[in-house]
Amino acid sequence: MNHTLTMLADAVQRMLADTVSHRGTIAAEQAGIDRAAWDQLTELGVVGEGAAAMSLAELAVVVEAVGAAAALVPYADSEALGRWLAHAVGFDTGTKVLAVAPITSGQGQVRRTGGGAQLSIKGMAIAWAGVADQVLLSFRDGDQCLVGLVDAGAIELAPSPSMAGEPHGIVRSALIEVDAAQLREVGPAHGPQAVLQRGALCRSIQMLGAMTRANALTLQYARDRKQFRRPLSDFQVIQSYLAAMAGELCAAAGIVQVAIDAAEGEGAFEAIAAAKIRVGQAARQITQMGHQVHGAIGFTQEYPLNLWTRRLWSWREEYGNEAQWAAELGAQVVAQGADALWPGLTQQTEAASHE
Amino acid sequence: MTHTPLRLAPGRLDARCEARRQQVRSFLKDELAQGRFEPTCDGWVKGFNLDFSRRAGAAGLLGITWPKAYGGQEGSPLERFVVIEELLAAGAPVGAHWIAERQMGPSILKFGTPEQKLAILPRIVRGELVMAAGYSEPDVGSDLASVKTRAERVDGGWKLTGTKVWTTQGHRADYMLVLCRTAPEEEKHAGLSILILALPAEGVTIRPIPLLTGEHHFNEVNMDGVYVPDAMVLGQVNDGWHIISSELVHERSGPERFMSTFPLLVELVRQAEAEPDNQRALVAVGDLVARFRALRNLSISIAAALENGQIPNVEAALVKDLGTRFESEVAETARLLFPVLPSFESSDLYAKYMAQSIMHSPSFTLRGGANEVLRGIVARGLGVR
Repeated sequence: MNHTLTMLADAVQRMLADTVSHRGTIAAEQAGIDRAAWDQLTELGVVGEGAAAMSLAELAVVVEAVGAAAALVPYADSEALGRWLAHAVGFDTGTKVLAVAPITSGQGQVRRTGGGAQLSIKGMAIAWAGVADQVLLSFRDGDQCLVGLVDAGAIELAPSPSMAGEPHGIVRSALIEVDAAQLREVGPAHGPQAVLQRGALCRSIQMLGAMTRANALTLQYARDRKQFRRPLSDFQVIQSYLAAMAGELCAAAGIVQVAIDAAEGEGAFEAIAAAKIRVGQAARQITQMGHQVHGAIGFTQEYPLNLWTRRLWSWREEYGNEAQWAAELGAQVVAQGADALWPGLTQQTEAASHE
Repeated sequence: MTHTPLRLAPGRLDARCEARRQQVRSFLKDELAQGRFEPTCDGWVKGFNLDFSRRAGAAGLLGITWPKAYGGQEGSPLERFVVIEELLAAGAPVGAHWIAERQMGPSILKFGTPEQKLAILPRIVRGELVMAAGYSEPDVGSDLASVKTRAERVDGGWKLTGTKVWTTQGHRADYMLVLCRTAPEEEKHAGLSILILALPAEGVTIRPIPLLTGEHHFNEVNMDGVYVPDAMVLGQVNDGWHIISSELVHERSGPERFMSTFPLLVELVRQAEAEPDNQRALVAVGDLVARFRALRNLSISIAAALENGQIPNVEAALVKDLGTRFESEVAETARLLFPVLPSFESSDLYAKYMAQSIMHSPSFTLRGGANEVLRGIVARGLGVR
């Protein structure tokens, strides 16, 4: 990480440490957002225009810090994803909270109406829709990639908070109208598949932050907690769990960095798919062993482990879980054929260059 | 230089690395076209072929990081990484030179005398020298520091007495590095030395210990008062533990820790090609490929960190733990997706590689330090041990 990124990470981490607390996050779940933390992020200049001007590497630093702090704020969705997309297509969204719906093939129907569009996506889940001011709808019409901007109030939603208390919603409206003035055509780099990929990358980065904290908390607990007159960490089987958790984190951290570096280049699909799959696998191990080491206390709301494990359980499903991405990645590998496997794995991409 | 624990910077394979890749690919293409070797899983243990090693040496694929004075090319560790991953991906029979080139050579380069280096290193580079590691013993598994083999001072050298086991390629070796006690056991890790024993030698008897496949790789090597001259002590007397430890980081994180069943993974994809709508197979392939990418990335990061003078020993231990379990996972996943009767003798590569992978799998998580011991190293790195 270079100097600028380190400074940004320090600033965001310090602010979050001062603002976000275990009790505060649990209490904020009623409202679906930790307004104080969101206001602080806005004040720090990383929301709105500030976010639109940030590189992916910079956004990733904030996204990871928010994941590590288990802050109940829509940073990844509204800024790293929504603001990026809004800015790319020229929507002026100020600092409005954005939610994003990537509508990939087979997920509903599109009808063009003059310059506008009508979408039927009833039953589709939209992350953070419950607190969003506006929703970006990313979809295709034939070969065309389109982005529509609608007020969140124009979509009827059934609240469907995630296991982490994040205010997702399920679309109940039979039809969503997008005005001609709020509809833009975009290239495939901002089409629904690209948006879905970037969403998966964001979740992978958030999960890395959450896993880092879940591991740290578990390690500390194993040192502090005594059973049979010895710290838990004296037991070899516990040491083995802690080592396995470290291994999962290490593998995940590496592949997430690769995905960040590759995300805006030609190897983006493979890198992001591999990251979401591998991070999901790691999350399964880390949540399981983390809770096992903690015993009953970890299963309570009073103790903070749940802030991270509930997020990991939720985030691994969002923007595609391990099996969905594995099916996509596997389909590509199999279509290219057995003899292309090794050349594909060792292919150097331009975007892989990294300092 | 320091690094954040468990967060390694991605390593970058530069143009020289990619040039190496093409060099190895054209060498392998030629070898296969001439029918000079049969690909195999676990080729770095199973595939002993001295002629292949000599040709690899002649093609400039061995000892490439070593000084030119000893036949090397002064290439980077990442160039070597590319060379060995290409050889492993092709299932090449690299067993004859593997231990010498990976482990013994670098130790001799680092700790050896000029005479030792000149006598041994150029021959490793030419692929003509087989070396064995005489470390483990009947009562010593993962706890290497408790070796019982002892060397007693005699005029002009040492007299070695003891028994080594699991000595891979001991029966074909030109040299065996022997870990032995040269001073009384005051502190466990002090008083150990490494002697370079030229083979065959008077007083040495070698007995095969067949693998469960019937293959002969392992040996029991008995040394009964074998004379080793002073000139063949590696490094300082009583400094053997230090030498062994510095070997291990390099030994644990290389691509051979996650690629032993790679040829089977390729054949698994070929099976899946015949059933493109088999969703379960696609998910399984994607899952394995994602794991593979993560492992390869870590392994490259560690090679790059070593090149920068860092010693990421915790991460290296993690690669071995994750990677060797992945190697078995490939076989276990494949067999349930596309059932087959595995056989060493099968003309169907899938069935043959399956047999090789399954029957060699117990050793994946044992060799180079049992995974449980490696987790202990990780635990120490985490500060809980």
